[in-house]
Amino acid sequence: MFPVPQSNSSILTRDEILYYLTTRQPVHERLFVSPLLEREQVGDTSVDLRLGHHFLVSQPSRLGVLDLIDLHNEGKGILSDNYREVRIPYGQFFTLHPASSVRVGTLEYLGIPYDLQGIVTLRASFSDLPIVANVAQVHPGHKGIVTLSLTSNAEFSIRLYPGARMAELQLQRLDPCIAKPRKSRYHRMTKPVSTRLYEDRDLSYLGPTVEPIIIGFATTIAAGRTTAVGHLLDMHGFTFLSLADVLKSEAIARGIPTRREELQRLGTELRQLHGPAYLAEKFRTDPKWLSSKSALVIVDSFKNEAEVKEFRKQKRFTLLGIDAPEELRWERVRSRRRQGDPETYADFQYQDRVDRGLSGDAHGQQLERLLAIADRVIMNHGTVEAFLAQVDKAVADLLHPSLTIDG
Amino acid sequence: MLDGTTDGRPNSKLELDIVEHYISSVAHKIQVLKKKIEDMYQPAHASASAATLAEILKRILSRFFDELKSLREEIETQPVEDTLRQVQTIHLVNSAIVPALVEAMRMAYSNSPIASIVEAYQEIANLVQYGTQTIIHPTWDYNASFDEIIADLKAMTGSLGRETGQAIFSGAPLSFVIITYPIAEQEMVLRQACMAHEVGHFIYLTERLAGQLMDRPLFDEVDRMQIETSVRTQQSVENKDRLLKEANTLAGEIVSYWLREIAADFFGVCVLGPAYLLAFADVSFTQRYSIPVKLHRTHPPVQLRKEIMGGLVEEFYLAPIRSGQGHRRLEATEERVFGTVCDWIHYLVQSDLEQFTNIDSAPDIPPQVVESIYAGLKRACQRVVASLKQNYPEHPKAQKWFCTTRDVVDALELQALLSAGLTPTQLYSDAGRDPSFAAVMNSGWFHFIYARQDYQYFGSDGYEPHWDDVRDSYVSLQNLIAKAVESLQFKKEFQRRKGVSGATKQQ
Repeated sequence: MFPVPQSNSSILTRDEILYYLTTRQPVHERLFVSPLLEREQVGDTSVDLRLGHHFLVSQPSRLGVLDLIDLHNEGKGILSDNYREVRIPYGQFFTLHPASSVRVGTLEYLGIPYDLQGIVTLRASFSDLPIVANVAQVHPGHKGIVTLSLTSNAEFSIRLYPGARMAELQLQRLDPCIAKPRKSRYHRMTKPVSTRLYEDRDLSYLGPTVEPIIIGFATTIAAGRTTAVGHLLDMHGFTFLSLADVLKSEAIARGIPTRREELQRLGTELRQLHGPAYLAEKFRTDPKWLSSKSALVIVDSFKNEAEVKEFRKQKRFTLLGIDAPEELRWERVRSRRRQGDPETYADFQYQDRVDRGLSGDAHGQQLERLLAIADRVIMNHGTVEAFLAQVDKAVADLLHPSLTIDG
Repeated sequence: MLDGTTDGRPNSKLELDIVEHYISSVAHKIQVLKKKIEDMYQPAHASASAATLAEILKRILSRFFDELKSLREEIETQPVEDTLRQVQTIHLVNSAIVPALVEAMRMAYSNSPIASIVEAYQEIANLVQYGTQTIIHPTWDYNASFDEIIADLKAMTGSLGRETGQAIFSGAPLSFVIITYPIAEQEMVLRQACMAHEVGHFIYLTERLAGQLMDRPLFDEVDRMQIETSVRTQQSVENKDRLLKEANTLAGEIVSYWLREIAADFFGVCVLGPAYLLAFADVSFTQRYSIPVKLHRTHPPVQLRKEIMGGLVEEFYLAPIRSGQGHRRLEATEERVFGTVCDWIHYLVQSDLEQFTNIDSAPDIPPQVVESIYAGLKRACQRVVASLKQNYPEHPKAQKWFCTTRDVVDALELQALLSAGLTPTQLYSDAGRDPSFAAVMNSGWFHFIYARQDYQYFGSDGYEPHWDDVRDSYVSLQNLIAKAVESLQFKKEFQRRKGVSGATKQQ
């Protein structure tokens, strides 16, 4: 049960406003309006506010649709192309064209005490002009300018001058006052900003669920993984993530070199210690993965069947295997001279055997097994063009039908 | 309009008529140029990179200079006397180039916090030479060259302009001064205090102090003997005559450069008080912009500059306030801030003493001799400062822009507003009075230093330890200062025009 409210809230009159502006102690409990160019700005029940120097102009947009969920996911970047900021010096003007809008800050920087709140509207004289403005609420404890959104309904252009008394602030006393007001996201602004609606966290719960298409890669050494991944990133806009990143981070943390041999050993050790699906589980809780909003994802470096099982929990996961004859792969290793590659054929054969899991260790690499359970295996023993054509076909099969939207 | 009285401008009715006629004939071309600039100009968004801003300005300027060069050629082919031709050139520069440069600068910095700061420096430069436009040219570093613009200007003006050092171009009868400033610093409003140094160069030139100071016996026997004595005591040195000659040459060469830097620092302190020293030290501590701390040929060692500035700040501001000579007594809170700032300044001046001996521009001279040169030069620079102190406060214009003890005490009071998240533009204990530019800049520095030392005192509205990491939070202090300067400029211009308008109505 809430007690019966006993509010003594009231609109401030001129004398009260002046008291709040000049006399009240301590200073941080005063009403702060700076610069207050003339005392005449204080009216019977309001304070006139002036246009500031900075205008945020909306530009013709390339966006066909502004989707609030996209706005939330992609942040202010999605809006940055749609606004440009212009500073108009004293004595010059901003032209508001017909049927256009602009966001402009007040010249005055406000400091509102905890026991006041305000409403900023167009002055009555301006309401006769074909301009519409938003009604801005100024919360208790607010510090900063107030941003006005002006839209012209006129059939002619209107010139706006910094310093023009265009708005008025009406103040209301709150009794009892707010003990500890929450700070707004527009706190301490000195220039107009575009909306920060994208900070609304609940937007992420409101849109349709998009289940990403994930292609897992299980490839033997020098089978053509880099070529395939590069092609998919360029042509289809996939996001690339790798299970090996988890392994590399662990290796770096332990001060272990990140060569293939050491990583193979570390991977086996981690699976023995934490379970065969450890790398996949760790990966799926990694902020990089969780924050990925892409609908098309490549996850590289599957080595163990348990890792694949973990990812099979995703609705649209496909494991793509890539292999090639051993001699051909050894030729590629020799010709590419990549750091960390085996230097002798014997080393290559050894690492390949470990990778394929021919030792039968359940916690080690199991590429042979993965190639057996893969949804599709591509043999890369022809030309690059032929190989990429096979990759394209595999992806095309996955992309059609298009995204399933569960809603 | 020409008034016929300004230096280098026409002084006869006939010449005025001819020039007016000529100017009116090219007026439409100037309008066309302005239109072209507007067409080319894509407003620099606040988030545009330094490279983008610099590129925009470069494009605007190069286009302008190309067009103006052709106008200059037209002037050259006119059948007029040489004197009149020069007058036309000057007028063309002042009526076309200067507005173009000012406009280009305004465009480049239009949405940056620096815009209002530049207006404040513009006012200072105007006090020295009426009508002077201060053009802040964005560059990459404090010592960046601006040869391209200089070359274009020289092509236009012949020998009219003067290049003075690395960061300033000036010279009557041209009505502008170009100051280069690193574009990457444009958001660092508190550091803009350093720009007072460049304005100081302009004052040093305009007031012809260079000549006055050089005439004084700065390199007199005292300094020479100091070096000579040091050379004699170096038993291991074989060729003393050669060494002495080299040392004297080096000392003379260096002092001639150092004088203007010390003089510019002097004006920096005079204009902004402690804020100038604090900004200078902040910049010099930043690796990227560190001015070489060796015995540098063009700039005095940082430590020497800090010592001299520290002495000035102490003498002009701190000591009078400490002894109660400010315009009022400090409140308890302000005393605490004042103490913290004093400690910080003391620390800045005392730190990094060992940097003196890092000398690589004079490798053949023994360290002891270099120490001696340093000591001699230090005395010479101190004498420059003494000379400036003696002469300058009596200058009729000085009182209009010098930072006073009152400004510093105001700054201590205004710092409390900043700590409450408000702009330092209201002096609540003295209604109706506005703070000065110096008071606002000092309040920002005082808040920055005090809150860093004791941030808990002001709770969450004061300085927070993560400010250095979180850009938005750090920027908020800079924005408050920029907003305050902007408000002050607006109010000043508003009152001026209101006054003029009121007077006209009365008449």
